[in-house]
Amino acid sequence: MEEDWRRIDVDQFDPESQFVEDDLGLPSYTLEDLQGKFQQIRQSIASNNIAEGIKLSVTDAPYGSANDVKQSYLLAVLEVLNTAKQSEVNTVISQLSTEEVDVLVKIVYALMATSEGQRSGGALLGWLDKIVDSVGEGPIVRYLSDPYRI
Amino acid sequence: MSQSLKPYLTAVRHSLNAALCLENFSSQIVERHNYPEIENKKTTEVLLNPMMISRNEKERVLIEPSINSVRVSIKIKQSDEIESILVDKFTRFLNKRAETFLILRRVPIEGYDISFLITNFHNEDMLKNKLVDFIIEFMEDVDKEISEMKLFLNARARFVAEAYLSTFD
Amino acid sequence: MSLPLSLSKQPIYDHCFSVDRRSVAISKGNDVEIYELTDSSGKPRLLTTLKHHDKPVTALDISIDGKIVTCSQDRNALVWVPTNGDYKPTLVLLRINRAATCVKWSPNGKKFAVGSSARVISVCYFEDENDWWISKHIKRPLKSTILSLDWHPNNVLLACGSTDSHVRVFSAYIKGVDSKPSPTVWGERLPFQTLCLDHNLGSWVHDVKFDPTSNFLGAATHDGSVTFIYPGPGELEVAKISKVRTSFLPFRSLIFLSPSKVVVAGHDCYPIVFEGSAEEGWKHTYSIDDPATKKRNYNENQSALNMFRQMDLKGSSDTASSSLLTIHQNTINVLRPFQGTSGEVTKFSSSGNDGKVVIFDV
Repeated sequence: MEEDWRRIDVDQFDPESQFVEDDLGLPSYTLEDLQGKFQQIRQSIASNNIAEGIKLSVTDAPYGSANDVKQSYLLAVLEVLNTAKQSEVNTVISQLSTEEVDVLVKIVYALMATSEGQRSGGALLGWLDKIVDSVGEGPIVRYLSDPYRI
Repeated sequence: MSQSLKPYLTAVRHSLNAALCLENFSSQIVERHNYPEIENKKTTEVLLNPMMISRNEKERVLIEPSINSVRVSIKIKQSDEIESILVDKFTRFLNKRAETFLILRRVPIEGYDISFLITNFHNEDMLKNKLVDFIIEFMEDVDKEISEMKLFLNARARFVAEAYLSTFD
Repeated sequence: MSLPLSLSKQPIYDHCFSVDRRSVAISKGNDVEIYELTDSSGKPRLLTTLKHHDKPVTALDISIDGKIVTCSQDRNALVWVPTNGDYKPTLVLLRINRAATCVKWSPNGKKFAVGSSARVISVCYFEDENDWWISKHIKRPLKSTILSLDWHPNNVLLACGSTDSHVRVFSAYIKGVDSKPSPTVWGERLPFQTLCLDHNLGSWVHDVKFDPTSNFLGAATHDGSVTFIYPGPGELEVAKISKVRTSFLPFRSLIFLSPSKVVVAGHDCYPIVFEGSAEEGWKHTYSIDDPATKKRNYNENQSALNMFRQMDLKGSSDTASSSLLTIHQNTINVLRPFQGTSGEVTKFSSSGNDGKVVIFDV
């Protein structure tokens, strides 16, 4: 213990130096709250309605929730992204608004950081490629400084 | 180029393009200092969301952007032991020359084989599109290089084995 | 039409033309250089170099009566007063312990504001007795580095944007220097450090400006968006936010050409124009110096000499030139109005990391 005092980060004890992010007032969903949505997403996959599945996934994503909730949400979306055929992707993207595309890009990036997403990296990269082709780099630029993280 | 390599490289290209929007930013914590914020990570509000672009479990790129610097770390494909050894030797060779290799980080960050650190000063001296091109080209070439070396090594091993074992014929 | 001036090999973080537009001051490393533009040779001629700072100069501004203020990462600011064809530096007591990042003269040239990484804005005014500039600090509720400042034409209100992604409007009223301001949409009673507007834009605010009618703000943020903020009647109330999401790279600078037209520029290296109003919303209408409208000229590079040079340099015989199609070859840092009235700008100037100052027609 004795020798460690030089390494103490004294700045962290200064209340003035701490940057406190604004409270964005996000609802924190639990897994139970999201069961209904998961059900709907699964149904849209079963009925092969990818457009609806994507629409559902990009509206009201659980930003303020705990990590395990986010994780299971991401996995649910991954199923939709994986079921989509390459030929469908462009039509699905053209049906989304700018905000919805932004959320989709955010989910794709978040998924690529998970081991499940890495296993289906090809499909995710296909989505990202098509998005950039149709709307440009805007969604990526917005993802970078987005305070609503998933 | 294989089927999944192209979307992988374009994804990296677009992500880098978006991340390489840097400016001169003096430290908020240390007086009269100007260091890459991504290396220190103490000023949380000037860091941006990191991007991980994965082709599969074995190949991925991590881009960590901040206001005045971007760290790009590459995990090179290693499907067997020979490739691991070759990648290790190859990156070590480059890291030893980091002094003259302006954007190379001397030590790769954990879990990756090679890291680049691009600061606003590099971005001011060099054209951004050329920097991006360079990293993409590097990613393309390194795979090619490693598989070529592996082929060469195998051919050599076969030759040596033949020469050695022929004496027992 | 546009007039490019290559003035430096180093990046130009800020530039400012003199009031008569005959000379331009640019930041160059630790110094500031002043160039005369009306030389008979037609080339910009170096008039003088202002040397004093020992860290890079981050911003400079010229007041209506010709005084130059410079600020630098060495934590200091200096006011340079023209005397007998040269400039004499005057000390400014900023009382900050981190880099100064931006500086702006008030429209009447009696005071200026300096933003800093110390998370304060120093509002500076001249004190005759000691022959120096002293400052008052605006501290709360700033949480991070100030990136941009802009004065209201009444010399009292000050808008600022910072890396904590907030846009704020403060009162910088200083007793004895300012006369009492008449009520505006931003507030009625305005003692020093009154917060008149505070809004989170969700991304670093690189530039913020009052519109020519000074009834609303325009802001350029790091998420490649342009946002217009209309204040409401209540205290700190925001009546309307109009955010334009684009597929451009982040913008560094924004100026109003008229109350219904802005031009922004940044990492895309060319100026982009937005038009609109509070009622109809804003949208991207056209770009100036747009690379999409230009064609690469292949003929210039087809000499044998060039081919061998390329092979020597790059190991390939690719003759496509490596330069960008735009005039600016790197990020544009600052835009400033050049010609016209504040309500109808007809020419504006830009400076960038490529060491160029360019004058563009709208």
